[in-house]
Amino acid sequence: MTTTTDVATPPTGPAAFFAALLRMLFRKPGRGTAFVWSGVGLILILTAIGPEIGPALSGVGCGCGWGSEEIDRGHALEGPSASHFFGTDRTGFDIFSRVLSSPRINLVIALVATALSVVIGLPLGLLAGYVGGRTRAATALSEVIMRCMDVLQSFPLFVFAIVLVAVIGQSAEIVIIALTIVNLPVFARLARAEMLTVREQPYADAARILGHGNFRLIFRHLAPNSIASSVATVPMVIGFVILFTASLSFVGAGVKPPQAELGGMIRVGANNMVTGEWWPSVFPGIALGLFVLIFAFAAQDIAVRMRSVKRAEGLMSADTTSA
Amino acid sequence: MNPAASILKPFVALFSSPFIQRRLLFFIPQLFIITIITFILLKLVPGDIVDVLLGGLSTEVQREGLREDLGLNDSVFSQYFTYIEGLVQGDLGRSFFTGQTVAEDFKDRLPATLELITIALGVSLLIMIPLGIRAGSPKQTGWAAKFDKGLSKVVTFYGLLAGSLADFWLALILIFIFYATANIVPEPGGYFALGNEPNATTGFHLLDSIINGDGAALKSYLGHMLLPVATLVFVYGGPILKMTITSMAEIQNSAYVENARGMGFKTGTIRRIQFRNSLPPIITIIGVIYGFLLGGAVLVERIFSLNGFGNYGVESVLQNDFLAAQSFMLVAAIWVMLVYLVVDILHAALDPRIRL
Repeated sequence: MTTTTDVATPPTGPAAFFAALLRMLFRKPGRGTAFVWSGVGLILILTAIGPEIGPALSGVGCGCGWGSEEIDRGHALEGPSASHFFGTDRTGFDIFSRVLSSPRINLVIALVATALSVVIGLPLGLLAGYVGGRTRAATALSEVIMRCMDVLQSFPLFVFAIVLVAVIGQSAEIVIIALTIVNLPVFARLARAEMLTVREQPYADAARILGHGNFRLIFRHLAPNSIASSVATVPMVIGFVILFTASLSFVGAGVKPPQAELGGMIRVGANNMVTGEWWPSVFPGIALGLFVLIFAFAAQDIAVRMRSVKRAEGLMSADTTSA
Repeated sequence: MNPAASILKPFVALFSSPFIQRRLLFFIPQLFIITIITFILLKLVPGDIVDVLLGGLSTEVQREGLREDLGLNDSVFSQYFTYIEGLVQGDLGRSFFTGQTVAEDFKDRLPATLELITIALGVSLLIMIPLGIRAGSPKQTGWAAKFDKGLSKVVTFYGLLAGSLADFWLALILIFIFYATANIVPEPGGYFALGNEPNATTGFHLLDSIINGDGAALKSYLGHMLLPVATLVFVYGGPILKMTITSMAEIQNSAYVENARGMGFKTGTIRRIQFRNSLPPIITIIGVIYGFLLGGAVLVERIFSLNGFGNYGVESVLQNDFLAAQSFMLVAAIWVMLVYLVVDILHAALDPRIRL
């Protein structure tokens, strides 16, 4: 190896890479990190058992207990009290119990839809970015992929989703499909944009000269360096999907009531807001914000860890910062 | 070379280059595909417009007559070609519910919504970009470094918070606080208080108020737009801020920034160099938001009872108003495509390495 070494050059090669990887995995968690991940854990637990423990927890104050779709007749639109911690909406649903049950719907939709759009969008973008401009056929392929993404992205998202839901029917699965279609171009575009820059870097040429095939070049060197902005966008997309689901339900085109879905709950309380009964909308809204916020923090933590992986990759490729 | 010419040069090169011409060439086929997909999707929406228009008490003869009049008995192909034929001649058809032509409906709604989202975006940029630059590229020494570090923490938290709030929920909260409780803003609903509308010269309300020198209208408009704009800025300014910080911070320790710092440049100069290089993702996110908002501001429009473009689209789909929905999708798609075209042009102008 002819790497010129001086005092400032960090150690390179596999040993340094694995050292950095270990440091990343066993990074001492800060207070914030621990808090964020317990938040995520709590939401996941609620997703698993929320609707089941709802009645028990909502009954702690009075020994009564309300299911998420159970109506307390004669006690509609009552403020927070011992028998209804978050009050009741105008139908008589217990808001506390419904908020506990909501992750089962909101979170599952968000995670599945985001995962699907990454799994489909990212490879499409990497492919389009890598093959574009190489041969005639490859350029055509890349153009076709990106123009399809353009078409998908140029639909007005919200109305497009409403149309999809209207065509196939109102259910959680359909909302997932609609949201996957809506988000997949985001990852394709980001991955392609980075790939276009990354593949021109000196280390890409170096790897090619060393005789690495396309496959190894892409997966070993280019893809890991092309996904940073996609990873950084995942939190935004998860948040966006949770909010989008809620928005769909808010206009009455998402998950059907009486299912405990946060947007639908805010919708039910919206008219009471102007007249002063704030609880039917405010509590679900806070829960909605908290869920999204916790995932945003968690994803940021992942992004920080990703950065040290990327540094390790840099060490591995013996690529000091390209000026 | 004078600075203006050096800024314009890449743009001039672009417009004479095959790049932009190729993009424009793709425009028409793309629009065709959009009309086809929209047409098929909307045809698949269950429910019969004839039932909606005539109500349950109509006779089968009446229904059949109306169906014949609307051309619903023709094959889907011939319906599509009738639609395209009209479209090419600039005829968007007639809405079943407003009774006006769709073009007239758009003339009433499109300018007002464009104006609202442009104001909101402008305000966001004015606030978020400077904040993002400061937080993403903190000073290295002195008390200013401490200030920048604190600022960075605050705005990072805000960035996460803004991305977490539902715009419709925030709008409700703002109404609850500033109207229902404190009562310091006018009652939500419409762009103006009754009787304060300016003469509709352009359809852009703010512009009309200013052109006609109508002070009362201007005041009423600003009062009514305060909460909607605040909602949009708070929620959609967040991603812009976040992207600015991330993008600036990413190259904070890159070789050329270190070099500039070592050369003893002022922080302002370094930030300018850094900002220019971190612009592409920021421009992308601005484009995405601007494109989204034309139809995506619909929830804010609904809550503040603004007779806007997004609300028109949602209503037309929910009510099965076929031609209105079809044209809404088309116009919104053209808008998004124009915005992305500008984004791509800016990218290529900023970074010649990107071979588009």
